[in-house]
Amino acid sequence: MREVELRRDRAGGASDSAVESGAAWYTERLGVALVVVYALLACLGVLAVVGAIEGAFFVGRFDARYYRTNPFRIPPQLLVYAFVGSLTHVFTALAADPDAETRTVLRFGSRVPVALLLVFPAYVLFVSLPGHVPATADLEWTRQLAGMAFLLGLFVEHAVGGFRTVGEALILGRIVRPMLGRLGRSATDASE
Amino acid sequence: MSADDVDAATDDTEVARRSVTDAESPPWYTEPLGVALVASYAGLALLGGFVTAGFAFPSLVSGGAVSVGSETPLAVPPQLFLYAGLGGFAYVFVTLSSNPEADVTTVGHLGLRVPAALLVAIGVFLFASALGVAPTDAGPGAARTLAGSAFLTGLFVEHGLKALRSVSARLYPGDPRDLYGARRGSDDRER
Amino acid sequence: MTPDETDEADDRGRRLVGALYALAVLGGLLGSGMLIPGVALGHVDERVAVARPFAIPATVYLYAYVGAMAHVCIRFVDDRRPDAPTIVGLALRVPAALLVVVGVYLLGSTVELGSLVDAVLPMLSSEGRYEQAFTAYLVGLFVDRALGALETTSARLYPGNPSELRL
Repeated sequence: MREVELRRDRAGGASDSAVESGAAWYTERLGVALVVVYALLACLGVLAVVGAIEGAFFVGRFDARYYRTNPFRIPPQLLVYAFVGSLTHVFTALAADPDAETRTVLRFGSRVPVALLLVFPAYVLFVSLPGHVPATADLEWTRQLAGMAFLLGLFVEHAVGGFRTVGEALILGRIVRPMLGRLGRSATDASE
Repeated sequence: MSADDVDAATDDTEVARRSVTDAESPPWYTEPLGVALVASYAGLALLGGFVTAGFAFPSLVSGGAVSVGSETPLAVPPQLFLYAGLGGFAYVFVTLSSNPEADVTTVGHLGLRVPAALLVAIGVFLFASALGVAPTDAGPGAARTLAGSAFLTGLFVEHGLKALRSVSARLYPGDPRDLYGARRGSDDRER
Repeated sequence: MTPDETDEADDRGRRLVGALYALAVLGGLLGSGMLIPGVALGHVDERVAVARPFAIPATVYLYAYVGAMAHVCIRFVDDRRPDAPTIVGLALRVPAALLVVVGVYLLGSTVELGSLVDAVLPMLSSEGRYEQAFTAYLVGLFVDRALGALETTSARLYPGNPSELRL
């Protein structure tokens, strides 16, 4: 085991963990209010995930067979998991950088709506790519779907990168390369 | 067993050698905010412990049938949060015990791990089979595996986070290393 | 610190040490069953463990507590004039031990507590009825070692090279 150094914030501003030398979030009322809001949202998410909140997003009932046969209907429960995943990012980033500025804390939270929006294309991608979700028992499939939505929230940049790869492959492969081929330029030049 | 043996055992692991020394910042127990913080951690942990022993909210721990079952595949068992929280507090108190002179800021930082622990535990639960921590049978062993892995996730949040990150990178087509932001600064920082 | 403050600090220190000793004695009485008959069962009832797998038997907590108090007292034998950080650190071992024992109890066979424990455990009752209580006691006594064992277990649980996961 390596020694772990607990990072500290020296009096006078610059801590060696954070790049910024500004005021930590807990010294500003807006910062504290932000984190309280995040905490409340997280509690809401946890309650939803445990099944305590009924309604359209209720996780208690999930007809896996229906969704497997209708791949273009998006289960609303996935939004719950993406929501919770993005909040997980907020709190892990906060725990790793506890003296962050209010501005940075706001940035942590900006992923929440992004994650919710990305669920839709992600779901289509995962469900329609053959073999991408290992087709196993309903329970496994359901959990993996929820897991993917969660990870989408937690690591939004992975999803963005993945979409970009897919997009490049699709667009470059289907449209750009043939076009450039017709123009007489090599494909490797174009993909730089 | 003499005092020397006990000392030797303590000094053996590097956990005991984690040191936070800053001569300028006063130790937490000299400041009322510090004492209040640690007392609240202890209170929450105590409540959690009582729940697990059955002295409070006994319905949470009296059941055995976990929703490893298929009636509610998308629901997360609430006991997960109980044990993840206990794991998080375990880290807090072990660190404080080896670093009794930590200042109030450090105590606050430690506390911030607990909500992160609770949330990361959800991800580890969902990917239990991919990560190899899935319960292999239904029944009491399954419950204990679930609770145990939740506790470990709470204790070592970084392990769970790293594992989840590699699962996530493999989800998307393309080389995982090329994923935008896969190496980005502040999100990757680990304690 | 001024002489007055030093005296105050000394008094507070003495009071804290005294409180710790009292708690240790209380723990001993509870553990031996003298205080509340029936509380201290050396073994963990298997039926309870099966019927309520999400619960932690109170016995486990009790013996972890007794072990932690034993550690505290042993350290005070050696260090007759402990300074404030030492006292605080030792006092905090008690909640730390109570919490760490939860993990050790839940993960049972997957946690390797180390050669010292492995050497002693086989000497116990052959039915292993007292093993769990004794393991809890050892966790209280050597919290750091138990934490290290848990860390190894955690690193091995996830796929990939365990040493990459080291904190």
